[in-house]
Amino acid sequence: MKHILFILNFLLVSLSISAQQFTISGVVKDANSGEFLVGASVTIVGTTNGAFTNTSGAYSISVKQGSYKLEYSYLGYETAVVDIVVSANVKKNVRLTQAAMKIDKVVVTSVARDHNVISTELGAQTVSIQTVKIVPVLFGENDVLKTLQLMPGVKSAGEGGSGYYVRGGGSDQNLILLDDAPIYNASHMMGMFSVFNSDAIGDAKLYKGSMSAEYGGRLSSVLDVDIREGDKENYHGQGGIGTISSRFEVEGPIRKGKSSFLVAGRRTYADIFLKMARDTSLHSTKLHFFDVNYKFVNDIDENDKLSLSGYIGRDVFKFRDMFGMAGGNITATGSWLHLFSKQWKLQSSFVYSYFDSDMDMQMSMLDANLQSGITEFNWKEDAVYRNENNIVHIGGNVGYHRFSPGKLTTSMLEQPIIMEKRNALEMNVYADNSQTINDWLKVQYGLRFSNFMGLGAATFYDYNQEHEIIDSTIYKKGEVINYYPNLEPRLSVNYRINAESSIKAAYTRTCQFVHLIQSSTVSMPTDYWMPSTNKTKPQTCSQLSLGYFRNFKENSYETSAEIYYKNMQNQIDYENGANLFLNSNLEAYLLYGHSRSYGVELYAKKNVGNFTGWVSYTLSKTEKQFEGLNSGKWYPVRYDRTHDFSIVAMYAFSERLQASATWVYSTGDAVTYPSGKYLVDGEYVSYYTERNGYRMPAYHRMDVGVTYTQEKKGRFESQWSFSVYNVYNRKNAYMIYFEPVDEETPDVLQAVKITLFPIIPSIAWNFSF
Amino acid sequence: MDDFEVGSAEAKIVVAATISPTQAQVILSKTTAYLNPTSIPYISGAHVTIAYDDTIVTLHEDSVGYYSLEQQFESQKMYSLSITIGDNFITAESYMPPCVRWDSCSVKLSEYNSWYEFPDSLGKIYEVLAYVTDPVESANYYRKEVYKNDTIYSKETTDDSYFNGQTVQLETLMGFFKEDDIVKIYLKSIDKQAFEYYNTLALSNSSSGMFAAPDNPKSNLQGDALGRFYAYTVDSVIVRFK
Repeated sequence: MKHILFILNFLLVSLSISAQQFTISGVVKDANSGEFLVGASVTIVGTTNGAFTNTSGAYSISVKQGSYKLEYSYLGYETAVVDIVVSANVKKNVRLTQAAMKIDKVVVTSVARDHNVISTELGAQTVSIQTVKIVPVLFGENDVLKTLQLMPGVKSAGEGGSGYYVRGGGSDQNLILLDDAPIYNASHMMGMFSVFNSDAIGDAKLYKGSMSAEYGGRLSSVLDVDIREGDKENYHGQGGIGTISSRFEVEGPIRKGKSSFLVAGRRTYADIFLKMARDTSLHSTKLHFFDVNYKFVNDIDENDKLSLSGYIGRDVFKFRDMFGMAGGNITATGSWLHLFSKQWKLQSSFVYSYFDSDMDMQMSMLDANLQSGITEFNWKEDAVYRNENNIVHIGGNVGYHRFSPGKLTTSMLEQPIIMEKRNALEMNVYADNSQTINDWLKVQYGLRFSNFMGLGAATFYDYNQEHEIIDSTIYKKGEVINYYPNLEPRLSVNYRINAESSIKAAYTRTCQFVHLIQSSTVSMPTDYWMPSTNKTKPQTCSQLSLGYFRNFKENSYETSAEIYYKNMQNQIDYENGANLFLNSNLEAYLLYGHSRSYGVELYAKKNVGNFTGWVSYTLSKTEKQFEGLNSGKWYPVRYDRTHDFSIVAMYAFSERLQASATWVYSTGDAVTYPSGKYLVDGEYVSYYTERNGYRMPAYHRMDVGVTYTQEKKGRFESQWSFSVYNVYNRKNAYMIYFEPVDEETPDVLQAVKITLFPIIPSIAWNFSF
Repeated sequence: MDDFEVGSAEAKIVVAATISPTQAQVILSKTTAYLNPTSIPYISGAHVTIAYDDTIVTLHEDSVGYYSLEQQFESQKMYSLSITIGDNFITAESYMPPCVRWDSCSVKLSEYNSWYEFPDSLGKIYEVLAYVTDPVESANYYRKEVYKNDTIYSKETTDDSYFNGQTVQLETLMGFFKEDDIVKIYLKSIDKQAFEYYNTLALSNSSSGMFAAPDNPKSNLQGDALGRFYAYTVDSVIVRFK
């Protein structure tokens, strides 16, 4: 408690502001559409004093009396410089025009060019939606999560997939927020595509190292994605027809200048072709996903803004009337932003997030239905105070989670198998300050106090070594089962060496109360989430990171080198032979251990000119240690890829013609294969000596793409986009199995690899109006 | 594949031992290389005994590495196996559960025959369902083995945690069968350790890429050896197709 008081005291001291300060404030908008520009940079020329516009396009800068030159800049837009004389508080709204040069579309960030050097952010990566739309990907389906995988410290969860690992953390340790709503399963088609429709979202920001105390709930990273606000002045839309899916987005004013809407939808159509099949029995086969994003915003007055946004998506797979799988997410976020003064604002959000998965089997001899899901309600308050040298966030949230791990109804059994539902309450409070101490020192410090409570009704069991129940405890409805408080301190320091370089250091502690029970590395309908219990303690992580940031040639080249060390506690794995499927006694088979990850990340990026892109390299090691696995010795995790290298290059031949290419290389996954075999029951049994002791062959691949924009006809503009995945047809090993060399000697085996994707060309036609 | 290979570990002793109400059998061998195995190195000259109640019996080596003894072994008893190979001493214990019998079995032509015009040489698709009433008072572990014309057709190990005390359709078999085909469905009652061996064995042979890392099956052997020892009772149904 002493510590909390100390930090609050420190915050309050920082808040005290000197007299005779005035404020320049206002909003920055797109001159054409009236859309607020988020993250635009406002700087007093000749000083480091400045601000970024917030999610409502608003900024505020404290200055002393005098006359100033203010520079308003936003990538892709013409920079505006305005003279302002300050003798009282000044309100200045600015409209920026889009730069004529199309090349600016190829920028990677939408914040100030030297943001990487001046901010306290360490291990933060922004992915601009323009880049997402240019980088070539599998089947030509633009995907922010796949572009993210090209960043240092981020590894792909599997060939062609959208899952990712951040700095050695598991795929369940990434918090993915869409307008503040957590997305529990961010993929379609078992991980092939992400839930993010590029037409509907703005830039995405990934925090893998330092993060504000505002964020929490997952161990390894936060990906913050916002649904765009619709244009408040004009109606327009965009869409496209691709190899896998088609998309359509429309937006416009509801009341001009005051309120707007945006609705975007996508649907895949593999099954539409099945309807044309000659075999009529295939007509009832379904294989598709759809998703819809929406956002409504309403500016009530200058100080109040309401918005409602969300996502609905579903995957449907049905083979005849025999077998079916369905699942998806639904989220909704209602938020109210109120500006109390030029310095204080408060954002209140109400969030709903739901995820379910359903499997169905109907055959003459057996029918079965499996359901699982998770529901979350969240209420969040975030108050922001800013003055000349501080940006303070104070807030908290209360969240209720309901986990339905699974229910199986089948004709084979008299009664359905039901895994008991679990209820949990999460309550978090935080305070965080980003403080400019002087020209060369900036610090961000915060504390998050997270609290988790498991709630009844529930029955919990104690097990002996033989996995047998020895005792049970029954909790009544609403009764507190367990309570886990956790303090999560965050600290980040930026020491500015000069205008173009800085050194940063950060310490971040995170905590996670949910655990994903997953039988494989791809997203499966049998996966489910469970909350922490008396036996399964919350996961915790401490991370130390250090970075050197250096820009060249007026920030047109960005480089950085970061090192990190991460220590994760209360990790779970399964005892050999654990049945993960509908096992009410799974906890008896869970093993608890720890993992560590450390590495170096190098990054260099070219921001401007006809030729843009970046190179990223990660050298890292991630290991786990569990009593009862691998004789208690440390072993590498499957995705411990020592070297991970990506190049992204984009070149604009003209305003209309752009080409792009990516090349990725990584060490093969660490895998377990036998080192001998023996005969029992007339069959060979594999003999293993070491967990993940073998390496898959190295993975590498090149993708290329070209986009050609056709001449604008009135407001209508269209674009052809061609891409080739795996252009030199590298036969990367997805899986390795063994088969007899010939039929006569079935004991003599050879390794055979399965390649998932050969060279795959694709084409898409996109339009906007 | 030239960019991937597996190594060869030092050879280990392998014990495959069973005891049924009529026979005890122990096969002793060693591990061999995974890709290019030599012929299985069987172990001769071992001393193998089985102890129960106050009795100790010795198994005879019938042929190299094969040790057996035919006699009555009662169910609901604990059996202890001891093996001495040079300096190596290996022991294991297993309980022989009472025999659980099949209740009934039904055979019918499947409706899926009408889906495609399957060639006559395949025969017809039949559905064979066998039922069992699980004893309520004890935890039961089953190993099913299905033979088609004396060749192993399918095998599966299960416990009764989902159906304790219920009458269940324990065997669901669908496949092509022709006239005079004979299907034998064995129901072995085994103990928990044998169940865990087979349950973990099923996972250990999945060489597939994306699933959890495979591991050696959980063995009940004490000493430096791979394999298992289990006692079982057995019931069977025989189906002859017409």
